Amino acid sequence: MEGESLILSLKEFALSTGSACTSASLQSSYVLRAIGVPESLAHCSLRFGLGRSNTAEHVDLLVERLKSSVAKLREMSPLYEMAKEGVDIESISWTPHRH
Amino acid sequence: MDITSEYTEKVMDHYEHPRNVGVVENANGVGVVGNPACGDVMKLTIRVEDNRIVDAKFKTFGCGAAIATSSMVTEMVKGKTIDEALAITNRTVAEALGGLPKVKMHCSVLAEDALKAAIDDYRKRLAAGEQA
Repeated sequence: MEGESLILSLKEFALSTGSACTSASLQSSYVLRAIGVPESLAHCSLRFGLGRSNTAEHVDLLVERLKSSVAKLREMSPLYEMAKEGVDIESISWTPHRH
Repeated sequence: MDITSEYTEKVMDHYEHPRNVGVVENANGVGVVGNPACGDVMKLTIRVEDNRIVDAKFKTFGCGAAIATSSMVTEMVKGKTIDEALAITNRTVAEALGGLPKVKMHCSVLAEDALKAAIDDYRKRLAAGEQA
């Protein structure tokens, strides 16, 4: 699932994504691209911010909330549907970039 | 800069409670548009009977705005004739959501493109003589 749509449902946690969709520039993270992450995956990246005030319970809560959000977004994703059907997403000729 | 703070209540409502998620059974028009590398892909399935869209469902991989515009466009096309549906543009979808942040307007283009692609597919099937 796409990063922004995931962190949007988890606003009380310190999360960020390399997805272009959260930045004004609409470019995916240059750091992720520099380390060889394909653009399609960079949009799905997630960064967790933890501090000394966080507890194991906070992490457990986050994992639970993440699980349900991921399940909901996967249900909504045409790419997940294709992957389940065994379609190779890289083999499809997608509409060219518009931005 | 957090763009998501600029989402209207309607956008957040359609993101949190998307309408018409899934695939229409016996669909006779399918449109898949977008690109995973751009971070958004939308699949729209429609059922057309007597030149009228009787059902529409979507599946979208994309940001909150992409999900909200997908959900909104399925609500807007239901019950419309093909010609009425073709008059829907990305702007009318965005307006129905109370507007979108400027940099997110391209997400609404995805909804318009998917609708046009699904109708195009329906017309091709019709021309090919497929039984509706």
